[in-house]
Amino acid sequence: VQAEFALQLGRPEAAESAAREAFAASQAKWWVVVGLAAGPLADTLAWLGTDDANQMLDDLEGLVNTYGLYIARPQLLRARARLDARGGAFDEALEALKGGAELARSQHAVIDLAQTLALISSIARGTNRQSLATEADAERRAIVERVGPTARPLSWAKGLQLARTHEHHRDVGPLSPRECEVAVLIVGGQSNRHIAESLIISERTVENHVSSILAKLGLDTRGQVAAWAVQHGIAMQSE
Amino acid sequence: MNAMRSSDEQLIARDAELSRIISIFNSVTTGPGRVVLLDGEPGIGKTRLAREVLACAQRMDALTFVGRCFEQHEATPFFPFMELLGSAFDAAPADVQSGARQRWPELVHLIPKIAQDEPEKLTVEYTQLRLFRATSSFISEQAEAKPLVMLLDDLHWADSTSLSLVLFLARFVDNAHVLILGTYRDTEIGRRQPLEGMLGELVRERLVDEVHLRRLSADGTSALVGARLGAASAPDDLISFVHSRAQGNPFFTEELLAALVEQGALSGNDRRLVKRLGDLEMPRSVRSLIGERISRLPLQSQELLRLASLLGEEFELDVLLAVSEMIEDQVLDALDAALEARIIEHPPGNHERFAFAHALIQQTLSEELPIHRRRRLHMRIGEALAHSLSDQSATAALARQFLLGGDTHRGIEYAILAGDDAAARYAHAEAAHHYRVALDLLLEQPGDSPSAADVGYRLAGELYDLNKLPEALAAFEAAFVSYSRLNNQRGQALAQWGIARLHQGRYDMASAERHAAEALRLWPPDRRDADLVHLLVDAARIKAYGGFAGGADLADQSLGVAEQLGDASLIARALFGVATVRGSTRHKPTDQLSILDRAVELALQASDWRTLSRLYLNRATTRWLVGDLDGNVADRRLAITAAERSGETERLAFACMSLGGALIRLGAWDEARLVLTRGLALNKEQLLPNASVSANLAWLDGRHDDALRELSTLVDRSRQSRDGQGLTTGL
Repeated sequence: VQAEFALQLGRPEAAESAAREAFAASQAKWWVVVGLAAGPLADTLAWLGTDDANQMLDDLEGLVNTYGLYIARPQLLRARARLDARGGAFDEALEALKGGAELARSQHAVIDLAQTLALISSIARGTNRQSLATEADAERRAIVERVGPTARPLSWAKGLQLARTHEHHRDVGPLSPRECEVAVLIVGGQSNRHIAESLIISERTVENHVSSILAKLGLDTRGQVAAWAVQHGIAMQSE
Repeated sequence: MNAMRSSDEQLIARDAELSRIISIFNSVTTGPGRVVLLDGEPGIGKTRLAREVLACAQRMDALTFVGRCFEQHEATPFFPFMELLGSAFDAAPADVQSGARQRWPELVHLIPKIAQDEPEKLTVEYTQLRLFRATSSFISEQAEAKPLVMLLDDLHWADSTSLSLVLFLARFVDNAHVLILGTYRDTEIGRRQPLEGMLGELVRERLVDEVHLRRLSADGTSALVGARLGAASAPDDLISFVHSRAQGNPFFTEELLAALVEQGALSGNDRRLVKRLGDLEMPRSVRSLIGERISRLPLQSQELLRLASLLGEEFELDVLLAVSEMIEDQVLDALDAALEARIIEHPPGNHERFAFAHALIQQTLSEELPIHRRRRLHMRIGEALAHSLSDQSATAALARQFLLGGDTHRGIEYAILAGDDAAARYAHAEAAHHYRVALDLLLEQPGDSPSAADVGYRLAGELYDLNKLPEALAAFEAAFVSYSRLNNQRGQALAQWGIARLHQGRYDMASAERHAAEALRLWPPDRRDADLVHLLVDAARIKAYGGFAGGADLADQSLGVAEQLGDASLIARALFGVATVRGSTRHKPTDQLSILDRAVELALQASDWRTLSRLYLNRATTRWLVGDLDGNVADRRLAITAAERSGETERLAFACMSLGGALIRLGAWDEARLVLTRGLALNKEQLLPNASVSANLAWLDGRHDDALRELSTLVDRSRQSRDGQGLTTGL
């Protein structure tokens, strides 16, 4: 997490020691997270262009493919793209990044996708591929706006023209904070009984909240509420 | 003949305080719940004012319920709530009553009449939370149709668990039209640690409105004297005399007036003083005044009241008859005299019970008795109670009576039973109190007693549940020494296991591993039971988390024993151990998924929510590794549901924290903020380190450098304690 946060802040040099130690520790002590440590390590070393970056990336790709640790793939593809771009192989770099973006999209790994899109945009602009950059930025802008204003200083949100926001939290329409909580739990597929238990209120109070949400949003069903909540980014779609 | 007006008639000189509380109540009728605490010295009129609030609330169509605390029931778990919830249940609509057992099964422990048969012990840890949530939900439900006022009187005598429940309700009362009104003696602050702790929390979290009752001014005394004597205006010399003696304490004032009336010092419609003040022998303290008034009763009444004072502030006629050695007619005559003098009264609607008119009267009477007589009477009461009482709170009362009576043997016996009763109701503080009393006495006896080792072990478990970890560690270690002296190998193993779990809970895997290994070495080879499966799983997981070799063998052994026992829940638990250990070594996550799917299926069959919450979290990580982020989030949501069902605060907090972390990656930062905040609130007792959740929240708030600093703290601590999970996650 430390390494990932440092990378998102655009500080690969601050990420390096944490990324190396996390990977070494996961191999020695807690292998279950090796797949989570592999991605940030590859991305960090490639970003810094360390001497062992190429070799390490080859090793990590081998590890990820052997054990099926597909969570790390988008990051490894991003690392590969960074190394390609360093060597001037921009077409290969962009190909790798497009593959990484596609994978991140299919995994719903939104933050990872934004990081890949930021790199696509940077390389595309540097190599005069304006339409690709514009396309990547449009998708990235949607992500930044969905995630919220506190993401704006992060490396993957930079260089975008964004609407001004004065509110710390995104507007979630006419719903009160409690109604928002109920809406989030509706997305999670919870019954009124379960929502009541989760929020430590009575079932009747939940019914009132649900009626109020439906009335305020002009909707008829819980499914519509769930769709609305996902659409407005206050909850993730559950399986 | 008593010519005093009843103190129930009119509240005097408390208009400002009453208006303030009523205005808070008015806000509750349309808005969120509130907590009001009334404090002041003994006799200042806290209960009187609180009762007036209840009367006003009733006139405004509110529901009102009372739970009183008594000194003799300080260690009886949930004592005030049993009274309060019992009457709330009686007043509930028929459909709520008939559905209560199904909707709030945990309330059986607080409202025994819900049970159709004996309550089953809930088979999960941290069930106190379930009990608290059920209480909160039941009260909120009652407050939906009408606002509800609950009076908890004399909280300075409340048991620790009830105080925790008050704090819990205070935190969640904002969702319901409920006014929690509590009274306590501010003179007890500093002597009552649990009360002080609860007050500190309420004030810190800004959950309480405090109303401090001061002594009456001279005008207030004048109004009180006039009202009590039924005179339009009382003579100045009388008021001046009473005010200088009673110093504005309403109870003292009323006692003084009663004494003046009894001595024939007042006469005429205007209640003039007919004796010269210098001729009146009026005691200068309220206690001596009470003593003086009691001395005017017939000797038989005095004797009986002294005996009754040892039964507590309230007592049953039947119990008094059983302990008094007087014939029934004599007892009734003696009680009538005391009723006439307003020394005692009947609680509303119950003519088989009596209550002292004020706690100070009961205390004065019991303190008047010489120690040797008090002891003898306590013994007599203990004997009588042992034959007549059967409810759960009786064990605590019996322990108290026998211990005060000097019968150590029976005192210990009932203290252990009281501890077991409290433990069965998840009242860990009271259980620990009773076990500690029993243990201290057992340790004073010569030789090594098997009971001392067992009680010490039970005490350690209760302290662990109270999250008093250093004390729990000391208790487990002491139990281990006791079992060693007795050469009880299983006991030694259990104590070592307890120590291991404690270190594991603190994420100190190096120490946890050492003690788990010792527990296994000591475990009797012929005992292949459910405890062994759990011990093997814990030991295997500790090895995995700490990066020690040998975890896989232990996990396989646990699975072998579980399969031999053929219990679905145990097999699921063992599979969880197998999956955890495999997770720490090189493996394909897809292989892991099949083990976890099977374990989930078995745990679902057994409705083992405790194991399920762990399995879902484990499977969530596995799904994450294979790139199934949606599956990861879905499993973490299921883990929350399972932890809610099992009632484990620590697990629920952990599940919320882990879902929050996953949602950040998915860009659902608003929801992440909600669940992380919930996790943090649930982790108030800091059963889990807060660093990772604080880091995530700082990240979501845009305080990025704070987030990195929090993570550095987590990493440093994990390095020191050899916590591989914390280290790799933090890094």
